[in-house]
Amino acid sequence: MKSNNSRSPVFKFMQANLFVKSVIIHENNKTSYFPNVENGKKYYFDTIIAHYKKKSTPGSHMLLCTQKEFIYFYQKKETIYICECSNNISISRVKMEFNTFIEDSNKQGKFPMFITSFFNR
Amino acid sequence: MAEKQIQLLSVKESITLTPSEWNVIVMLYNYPDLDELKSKYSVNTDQLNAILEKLQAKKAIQSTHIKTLSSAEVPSSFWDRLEKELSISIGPVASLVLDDKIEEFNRSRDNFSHEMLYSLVEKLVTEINSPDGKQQFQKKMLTLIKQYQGNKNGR
Repeated sequence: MKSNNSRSPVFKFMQANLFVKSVIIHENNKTSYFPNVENGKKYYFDTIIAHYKKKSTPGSHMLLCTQKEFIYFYQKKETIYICECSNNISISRVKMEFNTFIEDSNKQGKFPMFITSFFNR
Repeated sequence: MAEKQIQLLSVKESITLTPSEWNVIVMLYNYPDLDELKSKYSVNTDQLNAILEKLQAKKAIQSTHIKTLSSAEVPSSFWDRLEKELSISIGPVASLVLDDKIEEFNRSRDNFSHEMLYSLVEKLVTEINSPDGKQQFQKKMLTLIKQYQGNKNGR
């Protein structure tokens, strides 16, 4: 799914937090990637999401640590939010920044509309 | 600021190192300056600190704190503000709770590193009952930490 709108809330979040490499949002069995990633990486994320979905419940979160990255998962209601970022930063900061971004975006109402435009196509 | 300096020690007894501990030894050998090491290898600070503590326990390294002129310690104005914001969420016990949480890091307000502020806030958030209160506090703290870091870098 193409998702390269630089004015989107996700891109603003990424610009404000340069340690974030990509944001992935999964809802209604559809996944959106910010920025768009190549197929190999999509397969990688789709596989992880499939594993995460088996156990996750709303409010649950998970952190994967790879050699170069942290991949932080958070499920809010039925939507899974994933933040991939460099691992030279405090995990607490990643969690706080990402959770605040998700909560803010959901409260403001702009984000659900933006997401809906992607997932209800 | 209390800057950490690491010194490799000669080992008198045999010790066992994990691969990650050995990697840190190699990195320290190449870059004895911790800041330079972090920039060259893009390592995670929390993980690195944990490994350094283990190496110190195994007496493979010695860590000393040197006082330098620049200050990365958290200023008292920051603690005042944090305490005030926390008291809005949990009331008059805020000061006690804050000190307890700082103690969990084996630190005091005087020698608390700004790098650990995010972890501290995460611990404090668990003391707030209402989900909205947690969110509000977390958001305010993010802004406050950024303001403080901005001021520190702008000095």
